[in-house]
Amino acid sequence: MSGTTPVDVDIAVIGGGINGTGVLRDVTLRGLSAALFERNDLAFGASGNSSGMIHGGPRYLTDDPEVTRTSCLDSGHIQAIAPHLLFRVPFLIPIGREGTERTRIDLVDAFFEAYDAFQPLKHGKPHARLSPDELFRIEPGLFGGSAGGAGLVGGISFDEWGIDGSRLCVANAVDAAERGARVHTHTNVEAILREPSGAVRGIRAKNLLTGASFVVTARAVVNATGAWSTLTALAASIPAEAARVRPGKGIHVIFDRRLTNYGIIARAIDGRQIFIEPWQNVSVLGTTDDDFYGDLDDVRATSDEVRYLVEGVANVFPAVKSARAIGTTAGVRPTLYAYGPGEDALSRDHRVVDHAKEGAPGLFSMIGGKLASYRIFAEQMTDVLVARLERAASPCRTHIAPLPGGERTVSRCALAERLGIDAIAAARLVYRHGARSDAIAERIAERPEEAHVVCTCEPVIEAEVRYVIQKEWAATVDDVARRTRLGLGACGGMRCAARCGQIVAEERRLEPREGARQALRFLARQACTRAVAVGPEQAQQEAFSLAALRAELGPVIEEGE
Amino acid sequence: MSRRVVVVGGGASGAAAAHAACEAGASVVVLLGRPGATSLGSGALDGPRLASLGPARTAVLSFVAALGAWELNEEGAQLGTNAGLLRESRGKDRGLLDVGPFKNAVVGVVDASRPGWDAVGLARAWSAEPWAQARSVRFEPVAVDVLRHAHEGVAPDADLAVLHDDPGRVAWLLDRLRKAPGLENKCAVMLGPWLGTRTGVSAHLSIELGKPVGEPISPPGGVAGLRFETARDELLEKMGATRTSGWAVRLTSGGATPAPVRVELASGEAIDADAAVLALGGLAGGGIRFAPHEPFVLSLACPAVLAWRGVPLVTSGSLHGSPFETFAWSGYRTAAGLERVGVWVDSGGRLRAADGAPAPVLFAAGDTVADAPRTLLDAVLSGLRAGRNAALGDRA
Repeated sequence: MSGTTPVDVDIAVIGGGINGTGVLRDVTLRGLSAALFERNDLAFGASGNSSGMIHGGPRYLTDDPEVTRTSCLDSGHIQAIAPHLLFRVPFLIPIGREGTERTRIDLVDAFFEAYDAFQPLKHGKPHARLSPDELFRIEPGLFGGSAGGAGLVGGISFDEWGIDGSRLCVANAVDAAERGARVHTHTNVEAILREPSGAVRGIRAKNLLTGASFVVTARAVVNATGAWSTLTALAASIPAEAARVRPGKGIHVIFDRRLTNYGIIARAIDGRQIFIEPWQNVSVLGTTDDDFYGDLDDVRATSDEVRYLVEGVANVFPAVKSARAIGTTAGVRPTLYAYGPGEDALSRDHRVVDHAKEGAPGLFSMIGGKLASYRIFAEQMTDVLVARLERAASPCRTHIAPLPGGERTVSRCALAERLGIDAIAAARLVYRHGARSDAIAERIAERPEEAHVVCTCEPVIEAEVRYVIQKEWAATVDDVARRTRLGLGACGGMRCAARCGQIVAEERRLEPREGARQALRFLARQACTRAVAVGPEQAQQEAFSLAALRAELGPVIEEGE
Repeated sequence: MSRRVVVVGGGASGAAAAHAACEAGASVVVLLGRPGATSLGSGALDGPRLASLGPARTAVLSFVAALGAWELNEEGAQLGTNAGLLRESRGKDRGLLDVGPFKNAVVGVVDASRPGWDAVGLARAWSAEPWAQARSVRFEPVAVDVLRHAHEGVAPDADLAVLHDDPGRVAWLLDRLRKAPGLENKCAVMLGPWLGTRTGVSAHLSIELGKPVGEPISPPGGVAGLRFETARDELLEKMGATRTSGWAVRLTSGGATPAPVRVELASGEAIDADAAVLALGGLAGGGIRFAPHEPFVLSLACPAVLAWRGVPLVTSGSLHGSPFETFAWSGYRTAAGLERVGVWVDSGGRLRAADGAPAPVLFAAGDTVADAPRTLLDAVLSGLRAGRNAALGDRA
C-alpha cells in the first residue's frame, strides 16, 4: 500500500466491545488517527454481559498458566488507570459433604498457594484456608446455616476484582474520542472496501438510526467484532473461516440486592464451576457456556439455563431459590476456534490474525481474549498496526495513562453535599464516572433541576442521563441503561424508563412519542429477560408491574400483536 | 327465596358482578381477598368506546353511577401520568384532573418537595407532549407550600392522602391554593396523587376555587385504588350484599355438597350458594397460581380448565413446569403476555369443562378469563354479564 493515497483515518476499527474500544484508545494514544464503527451499541455483546470481573482466571491456571499471568498483570494495570471502576470481590470455595473431600481441600489449598504467586500483580490478597465455623461466621447463609452444613470440611477464600464492563468500554472510547477518534454507534459496516490489489482501503457504513450511508477510507481495518467476527470477514469478501471463533453463550441471573457477603463458588450438576457474587447493587449468578448457533443480535437466556444455574448454586446457598430475580443477561464469548473440545476446555487466549494470507493486506482480526486481558491484546494489535503503517509512533502508554475518570479520586460525601443529592446517588455517580463526576456536577450548578433522581433503584440523576447522551453516544433508552444501569434495578425500569425516553427524545430532538416508544421497547425487553427467571411468587409481582405499565401508557402496549 | 350468588374477588369485575346480581334479585356474598389490579390501579379507565357497547352501555353507566368513584362519558379524558406523558382514557377516577377540555391555557403544577413528585420535570414533559403542543396547553410549576409538617415531605402518598380525608385539612389546603400568587392566572391546578382516600376532595376544591383541581394518574398502589375500595364497600353496603374477608381454598360444585356451590375458606368456614362468580384476577394476579410441578392450578380446586387464546393448556413435558417464555411471553412486542392465560369460559361467562361444555353454576369475569383484552371496562362488562347470568340461573 502506498503511503501517499489520501485517507480519512489511519485505522478503522469495527466493533465497539472491549477489544474494539481498547485498540481504538491505544492507536490514538500512539498518535494515529482512527474511527470506530459499532452496529449496535458500545458493550452490546459479551463485554457488557460478562460476569463483571477483571479476574485473574484461576480456572485457567492448570491448563493455561500464561492466560492467568497476563490476566493478573493486566488486572493490576487496569486498577492503575481506572481505580474508580474496580471493586473487590472476595470469593469463598466451600468444600465438603462428599466422600473424598478431606483430601480435596488440601489440593485446593495447594492450588491457590500457586495462584497466590500471581496475586501481587493485581494487588490481591493471598488466599486463606477457613474452618467450617469461620465460614458460617462470615457467610451465614451457606448451606442454609450451620445445621444444614454438617459435614463441611472447610473452605478457601481468594481475592478478585469486579468491574462494570460497559463503563470500561465507554471510558476507552471517550478517551480515544478526546484524542480525535470518531466513534459511530448504531452504524453497520456493510462492506470492507478493497483495492484491485486486494489491499483494504476503508469501509462503507450505514447509520441504522438515520439510514445515512457513508464511506471512510483507512490504511488498515481492524475486525474486533467478537462473536460477529465471521460475519465481518464476509463483509470483506474473505472466507468466514479466516476469522473463525467458537461462539459460546453464557448467561447470568441477576438478583435484587446483594444476597451474600462474598462470592461463592459452587458446582453445577455436571461438575462445572459456577458462582454467585455480590456485584454493584445486585447479586450475579453465573455462568453457562454453551455453543451458540443463534442470532447474535438477539441473544436471550432461557428458563432451562436459569434452572441449571439456580439448582447448582442452591446446593451451597439454598436461599437463592426464594430470592427475587430481577433479570437475566446473555452474551456470546468469542473463544478461539477448536473443533472437538468441550466448551470449558477452550482456550481463553487471544490472537491477532493478519488477513494478508487471504489476499487482504491491511485487514486484521482480533480473535478470542477476555475482559481482564483486553489491554495487552490491544497493545499487541496496535504494535502490529504501527509496524504495518511504518510510522514512527510513541510507545504504548495504555498501562500508565489514566482512563477518563481515573485521573484522581473524588470524595463521594463532598459531592453529595455540593450537589444536594443523596449520598448513595453520589457514590454511584462517582463509581461510574470517577473524576468526570465533576463535569456532571457542573451541569447541576447551571441547572439545579437536573439533580432530580430519574431512576430511584440505582439511583441515577437526570444530569447523568443527559451527560451520557451528550458525551457518551447514548442514543436510546437501552444505551442509557447500559451506561448508567438506569432501569436495571428491582423495578425493571417501571418507574424511570418513560421519563428517560423523554429525556432522550429531548436531547436528540426526536418526537416525544419516539421517546415513549423506546421506553416501551426497553420495558418489554426487560420483562422478557426477567420472565425466564421468575418463580411462582414473583409472577404475581410481574402481573402487577405490567398492569402498572399499561396504566401509564394506555392501551398502546397491545400494539403489534 | 332468592338465588344465592357468591362472588370471589372484590376488584372491578367482582364489584360489577355483585352489582348486577343484586339488581337481578339475588342474595349476594362478596369474598374479598388481597388487593388486586383494580385496588392497585391508576385511576385511568381504559376499554372499548361507550358507543361500541350496544345494549350493555346502559348497564355499564348505571354501575359507574352507582359506584360513584368514577366518571365515564362519550368524550373520554386526557390524563397526566407520572412519567410525564399525557394520555387518553375512556374515563377516570373522580380525583384525577382531566385536561382534555383546555385550549390555549396554562395548568399550574403544584411544586411540593416530595420524592417521586418532580413538578418541574413533569410540567416540562407534559408541555412537550404533542397533544399539549397542538392545543397550546402549557404546564407550569408553581411553588405552593401544601405540606404542613416536615414528615409529610417523605410520607407515602397514601399516608398524605389520609390526612386529606379531614375536612379541616382540606380547608387549610384550599386557603393555601387561594393565596398562592402563581395560581391566579392558571386554568386548572394539578396536585400530586394524595387528594384523599374518599371520593370528593378534588370536586370540593374545584368548586370552591372556581377551577378544576385534581391529580395525575396514581402510581401502582396509589390513592385511586383506595378510593375505589371505599366506594365499592359503600356500594355493596347500600345494595345489601354481604362482604366477607378471606382466602378461598376450595370451590366444589355438585357431588355430595348440599348446595350447588360451596366455597371453603382458609379459616375453615364455608359459603354455600346457588352460583359462584370467579373474579379473582389474572394468572398470578391473585387467584391463579403458577405452580411449577403441576403446570397450572387454581388455588381453588374446581373443575376449571386453563386456556391460552381459546386453546386449553395441556400438561407440560417438564418436571419443572412449562417454561414461561414459550406460551406466556410471545416476544417483546407484547409485554402483557403473562396475564394472557386464564380460565376457559363461554360468551356468557360460564366456565367450561375439559370437553368444552359449560358448567351451569360456575362463572368467571375480569382478568380471570382468558383471551379477552384486559382493560378495566372489559372487566366491568364481563363482571356485569357473569353476575346477571349467575343471578338468573336457568332464567337467563
